Amino acid sequence: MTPCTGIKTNNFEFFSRQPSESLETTLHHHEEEFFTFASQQAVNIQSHQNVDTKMQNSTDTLTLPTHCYAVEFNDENAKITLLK
Amino acid sequence: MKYSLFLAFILSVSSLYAGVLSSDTPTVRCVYSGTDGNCVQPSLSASQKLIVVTVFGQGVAPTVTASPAQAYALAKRAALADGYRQIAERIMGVHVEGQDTVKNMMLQRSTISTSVDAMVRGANVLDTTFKDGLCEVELEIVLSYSQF
Repeated sequence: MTPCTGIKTNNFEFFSRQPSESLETTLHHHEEEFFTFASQQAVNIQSHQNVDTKMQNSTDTLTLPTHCYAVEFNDENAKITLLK
Repeated sequence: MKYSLFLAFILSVSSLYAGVLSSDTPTVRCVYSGTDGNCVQPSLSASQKLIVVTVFGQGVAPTVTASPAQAYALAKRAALADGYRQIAERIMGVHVEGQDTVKNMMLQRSTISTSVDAMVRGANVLDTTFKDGLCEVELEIVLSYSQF
């Protein structure tokens, strides 16, 4: 993670955390919620589908682009705000 | 008798005519994304000149998971990926490649490949349902005319 500048937007999300928990652990515990929050801003989709006479397969790859967020901690939760 | 038949005929013709003329409300077309048959329904808001695209992404939980919560999370992730794919296909278009191999006038092999690569911004998750291992996510994206 590298520091970056930006203006806070109205898009933010609260994630509950233990007092001594790191940001990485908090995000790991709330991976699904964070992904939903982050993907609503922007997400890259790469999709390949192949249909054959004998078989069919598909691969969808979602990639979150690099983005800046402001993180504020207190003992109970972490507030993650999108920066623009 | 003749008079009543004639009156009924006039009434039916006039109601048919009124039905044709009263179709001034725009009909919403249902466009199919092609690969999975799911309906992508664009609707046009005339006052704001915005295009709203709503899709339903579907995802299946793997057969072997550590917990029901993990099954739900993985199925939801797959459903989101499917929904984003449908949005990308609808807005950006789909690259389609087909190849047929014919030998001695007989079809040996037929392959169809589709692909899309796009960045989707500002799609909202409206609803999520999970039943019998299938997760369905309703996604919506609002575009202006200039973006479409």
